[in-house]
Amino acid sequence: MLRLVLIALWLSLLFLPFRGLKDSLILFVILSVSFISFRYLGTSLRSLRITMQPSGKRIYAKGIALFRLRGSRYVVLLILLGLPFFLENYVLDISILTGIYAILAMGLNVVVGFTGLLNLGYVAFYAIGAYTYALLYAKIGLGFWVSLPLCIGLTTLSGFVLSVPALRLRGDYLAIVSLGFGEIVRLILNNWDSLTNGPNGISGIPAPSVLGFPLGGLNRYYYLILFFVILTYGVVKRIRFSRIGRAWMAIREDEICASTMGIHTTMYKLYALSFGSLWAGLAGALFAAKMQFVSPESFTFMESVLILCMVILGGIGSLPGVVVGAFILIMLPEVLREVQSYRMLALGVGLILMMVFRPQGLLGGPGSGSGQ
Amino acid sequence: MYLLEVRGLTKHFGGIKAIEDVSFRIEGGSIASIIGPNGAGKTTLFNCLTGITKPTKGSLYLSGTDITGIPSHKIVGLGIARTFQNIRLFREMTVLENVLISQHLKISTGLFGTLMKDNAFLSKEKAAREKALEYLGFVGLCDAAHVPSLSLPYGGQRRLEIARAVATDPVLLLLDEPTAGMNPQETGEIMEIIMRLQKLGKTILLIEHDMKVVMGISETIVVLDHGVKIAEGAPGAIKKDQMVIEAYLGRQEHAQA
Repeated sequence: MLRLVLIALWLSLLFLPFRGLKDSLILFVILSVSFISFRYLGTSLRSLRITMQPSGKRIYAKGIALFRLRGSRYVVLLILLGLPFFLENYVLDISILTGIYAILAMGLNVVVGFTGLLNLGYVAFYAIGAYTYALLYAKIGLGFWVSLPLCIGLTTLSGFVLSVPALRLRGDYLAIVSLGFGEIVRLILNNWDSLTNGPNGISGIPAPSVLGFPLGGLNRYYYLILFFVILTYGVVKRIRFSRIGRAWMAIREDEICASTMGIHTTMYKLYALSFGSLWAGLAGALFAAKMQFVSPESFTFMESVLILCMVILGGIGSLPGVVVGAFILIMLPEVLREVQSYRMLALGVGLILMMVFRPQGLLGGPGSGSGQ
Repeated sequence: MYLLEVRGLTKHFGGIKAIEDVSFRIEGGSIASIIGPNGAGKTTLFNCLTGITKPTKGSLYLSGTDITGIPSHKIVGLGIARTFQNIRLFREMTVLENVLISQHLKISTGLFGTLMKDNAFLSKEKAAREKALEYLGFVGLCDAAHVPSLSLPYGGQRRLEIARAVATDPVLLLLDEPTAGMNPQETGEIMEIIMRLQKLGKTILLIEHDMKVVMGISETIVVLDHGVKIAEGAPGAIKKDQMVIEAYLGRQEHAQA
């Protein structure tokens, strides 16, 4: 206690020659109070954590058990199908965005959550998907459904091409290379004026239609997105519970051990990165068709971080978890729009509390979803 | 023909000679042990055998075929499986999933079938699960199939490692200190498992420090010291071998002066 006061005194003495006695005194008081309160905050946080964790675990166990009830998925589906009848356009718009991000988060979850490869440039694949559709339309006039397979194919291919050199690296180094890749793609889009129209972006991209039935309206686009979210969920889940998914998990847990079980670790990491970027291609095309406009601004590093946050918040490796994570991280800033500049602060505090009380994420944790 | 033949195996890490010109042979269906003081190169030998590290010199033969320098994920398919000295389970996965992973090479489900969850996929998955439960039953972990493997007690984790290795259906099983840190009762259980494995026709190569285990179950013993093979033979002969005694207890240089 005395030590803290002395540190505060010393720091404020440093300021004495510059700011005068009055300011230094104020600084001294502020510093000593904050030091001491931080000390107490630390201890009380620790005890709070100890008392809170068991009850938090109980509540979660119940919540997750409810989530895993057999019929619950149909209830969720029914609610999601009925939403456009109750929501105003603004909320529906946000829901569509949530869906696109849910696809992205599920895709990144394959790479980060299942296989344990930290990819900080995921947004690059999102951008490639979006720009492929935009350019195919703007240059050759291809429609959405023709472009979609090409978008997905090209994105998967670029995921594959990136991974070949990157897989010589592990852990943090891979993260840095992927971060670099993300920036390279954004800079190319920004500077290749003749092809991508640079920072001005490409506009006038049409929404898809099915058999001459346009899907441009919010209501209809919502259902299209919902379809793709469910498709993504189903495919990723089935892969997760096959030998491929198990091999990914094994690589995440212990690479050397996985290889002594007969898993070709390099190949499976390649699969994971390609399969993960596939969904970014899908989401990119959907995003371009939704916004009817793409520009490099939408694909900054912060987007990668946001998608990664969804995966971490929802629970690394847990599929329902990352969907919930996408929902929270897209909805929360909108809900907090009232308090404007404090919303990022609230988000930050939320993430920190998350790390303190539930580091494995909302729905994550050992054995999450492994019961099938 | 011998099941495993090690010829002039040498492994250097920079200037350190981890293994220097080691040769020995193991007969099929037997239990053999590798012993030696810490740092003798036992685990490095295992790493060479399973393709985790490439030997500097020398060659390895499994049933007459050269397996030197084959990468570890292919070695498994040829029939060598191992456990690790410091337990290496897939900690966040369930006990059952751990054993399912080691059947990776045995399950061949196509991508399309996986996505459609067709009958072939379901029946193959079901068969793998049943097989996995069988292996878990073999080491007495059936009841714990659905708990996360990190919540198993220490002895259980060791036994799971054995089950996981056996599930790759190897001809040669390498066990790296399977009884380290165990009490006599648990050690007894592991010994019993090893002997049952031998009855199933597996050949077992052990690294072990517990002399009761080594002398109790192994038919031949290879002794390494500072990367060099100093003795090889039946347990009775090894016990009396002067070089081995010196390696373990030190030399009595000035005793008779």
